[in-house]
Amino acid sequence: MTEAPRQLTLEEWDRRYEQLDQAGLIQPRYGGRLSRHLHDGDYRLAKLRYDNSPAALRLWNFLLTEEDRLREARECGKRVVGTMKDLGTVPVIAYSFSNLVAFYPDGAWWIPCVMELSAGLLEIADSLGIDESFCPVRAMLGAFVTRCHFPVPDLLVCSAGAVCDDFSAIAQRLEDLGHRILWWEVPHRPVPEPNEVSVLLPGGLPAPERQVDLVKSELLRVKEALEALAGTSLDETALHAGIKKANEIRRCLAELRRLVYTAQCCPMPALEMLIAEMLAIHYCSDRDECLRVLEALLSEVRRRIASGVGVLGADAARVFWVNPVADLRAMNLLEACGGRICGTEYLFTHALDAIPQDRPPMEALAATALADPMAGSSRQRAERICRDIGEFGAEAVVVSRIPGASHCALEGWTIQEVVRSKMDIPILEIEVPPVADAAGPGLRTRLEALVETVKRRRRT
Amino acid sequence: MTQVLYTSPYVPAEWIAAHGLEPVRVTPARAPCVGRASSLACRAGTHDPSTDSGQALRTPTGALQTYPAALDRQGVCPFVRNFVADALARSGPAALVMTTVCDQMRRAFDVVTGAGAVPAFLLNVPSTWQSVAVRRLYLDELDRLSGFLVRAGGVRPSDGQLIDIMIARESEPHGLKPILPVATRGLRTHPTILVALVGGPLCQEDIAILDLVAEFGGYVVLDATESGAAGTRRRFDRRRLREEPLLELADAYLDGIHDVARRPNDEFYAWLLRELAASDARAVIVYRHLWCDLWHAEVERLREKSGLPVLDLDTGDGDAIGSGRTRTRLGAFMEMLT
Ligand code: SF4
Ligand code: SF4
Repeated sequence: MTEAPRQLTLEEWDRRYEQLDQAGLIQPRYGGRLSRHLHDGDYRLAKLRYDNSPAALRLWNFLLTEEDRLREARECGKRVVGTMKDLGTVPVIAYSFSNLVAFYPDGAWWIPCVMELSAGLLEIADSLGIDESFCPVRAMLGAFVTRCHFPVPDLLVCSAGAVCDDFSAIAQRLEDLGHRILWWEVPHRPVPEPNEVSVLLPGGLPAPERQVDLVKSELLRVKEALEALAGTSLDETALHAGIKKANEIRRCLAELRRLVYTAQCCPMPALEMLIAEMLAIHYCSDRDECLRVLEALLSEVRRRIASGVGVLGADAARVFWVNPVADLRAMNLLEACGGRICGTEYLFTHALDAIPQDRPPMEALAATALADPMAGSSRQRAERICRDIGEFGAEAVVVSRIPGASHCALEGWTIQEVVRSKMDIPILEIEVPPVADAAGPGLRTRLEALVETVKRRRRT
Repeated sequence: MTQVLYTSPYVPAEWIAAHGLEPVRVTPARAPCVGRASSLACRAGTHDPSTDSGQALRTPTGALQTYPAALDRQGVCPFVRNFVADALARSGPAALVMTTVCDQMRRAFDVVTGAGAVPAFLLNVPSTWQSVAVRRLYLDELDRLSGFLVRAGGVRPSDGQLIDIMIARESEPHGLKPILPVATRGLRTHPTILVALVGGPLCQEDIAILDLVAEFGGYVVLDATESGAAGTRRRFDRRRLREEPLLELADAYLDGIHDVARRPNDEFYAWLLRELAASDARAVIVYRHLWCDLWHAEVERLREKSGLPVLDLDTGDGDAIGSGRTRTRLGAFMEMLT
């Protein structure tokens, strides 16, 4: 049942769901009404606005049923790997084993938002000495303590080195609670010295070859631990196949981003795009289904573009968004203020860029891990942002600060300095807390002012 | 001689000195006003008022130095801010060496190089320590640092020159000098309350904590801060030093420094608990800078692991030792111990 693209409230989605169901909508096993997730305590859902396509319904249901999937996987005899911080690389290895599933406990970042602080995770973190001066990822500690949001993994792997202090400190606290962690090093990525042998990483940045070798040796330690957990060794062919599959997902997502962010009229809202991008990190615990979910979204976007329709007015201000938002509602807010997302940098571009398939697999994965924007300088991150702003034709930038995050104060400054020096577009820096209702009016005013600036500049 | 300024204990002074440059470990002065590190220069009479808003510092040699205003932003570790401001305000620094030990310092390096104020180098210090490859990283970094020092006017030393410098610095009375004149073990029998100071790096004024603790009837018997015993390399192995000086140098720093930022940081606790037991300390003061996640996250762990009373003393720019807030909290803590 095709309907003109628009955004719906949760209630409206229930009515739409009835119609689709009666019209014979075929759904995956995890399908159903979106509102049912409210019963799990996901109260924020009642305040969000959603795209009205069946593809978006499938995306949301896929996201919101991950915990069930992980538990089912364990019941079926699979081993569960909790992979932390590297965002995108270790899962490629883990999913190359047929009997492992991997997920990011880091994802607990969003639980305070989704459950509107009702889960008490932040209070648990407080009691462990990790208070609100840390980033919202501290909710992960509470999730491990309550054991309510994901199964306790059989193996925990965490990257260290050129990572944020918040996560590193919190993961160390977690280890103290009895969860052993396999730490592996991702060093800071310097600009290669003039006489140094360098390697081009995915995303186009160079790195000293010796660093790729180091990360490769670290990833080999991780691979060995995964082999021990899986009870089987992983050969190059299987790893190649894992990389190929990861790239199918990355390519699908790249096309989705390109189409959505460059379309005349926005064919898919910001919130659904944020979730789609997040899927690339660990496939939401089902790699094959992840690809199908993204392909469905891509088909919908293609259809809408071909019909010249979208969810927002054609004059929406084209905004590039830097950093993920702790409150998902901020994405809706931007659109309510007359903006749309045309490009993002949510701290995991290295999980979006294709993994080189012309190199030995472990080397290719090492190069991917080292391409992490967190591993390099803020200047390099800013330069990639500028490049993507140009590619997607954004007219403004929002740098969204993450409360308590150790990197945001100085990194946000550098990003703004570089963007200002290279692009003639307005920049707005905001901070979005996990539940931004109180900050809402202030955020709205500032986003509206940004949109107004963009529109005024169009007129002149 | 050309000065190379640094503050991290991982920067090997011997390596800089062997290049014919002067290593200067900066213990920064605290900015007297919150959020205005440039006021350091005001106090030293080196602030150039013609360049508004404290964005520029005039060094004693008369040169103008750009102070990156980004460092005044909320969320920046005051130690990072004070270190950069202090280093920039000094006369004629040839170069600055910073490290990757924490995210804040790493980002501050971006800001310093972005401002182009002074040639700067970021030394990659590994966070893990389990693999040979990771130890190799530090050694490679010393090699990379050498290239930087040569560009700053130094000369790459021969093994013999490095050996001489290592031996010479080892025999200097303050070759391994901590900032606080503490850890006088002979005082263990003294009837005062013995406390240990644990935490991040100290600023110049923080020495006042010794007097303040004494004022409340205590004595700091162990300085296990980054500026003290925790951040001190081990003594060189004389035989290995002659055979493989650079390797010995790297190992003396990597193995000698007890760092809370290591992952995992079990070794830090094993060392600290040994030191606490040996010092007879009855309580621990964790001295940490505001916005320092690495130390903040350890306070509860330290409480659990040491089994001792722990005071979490967080300080911002406006909370120098002796300020009302710090004095009240320390006083209450010491009173509880009596
Ligand atoms: S949001 Fe920033 S501070 Fe928080 S875990 Fe992610 S990278 Fe670290
Ligand atoms: S005190 Fe903490 S945040 Fe500040 S420089 Fe030291 S480790 Fe970094």
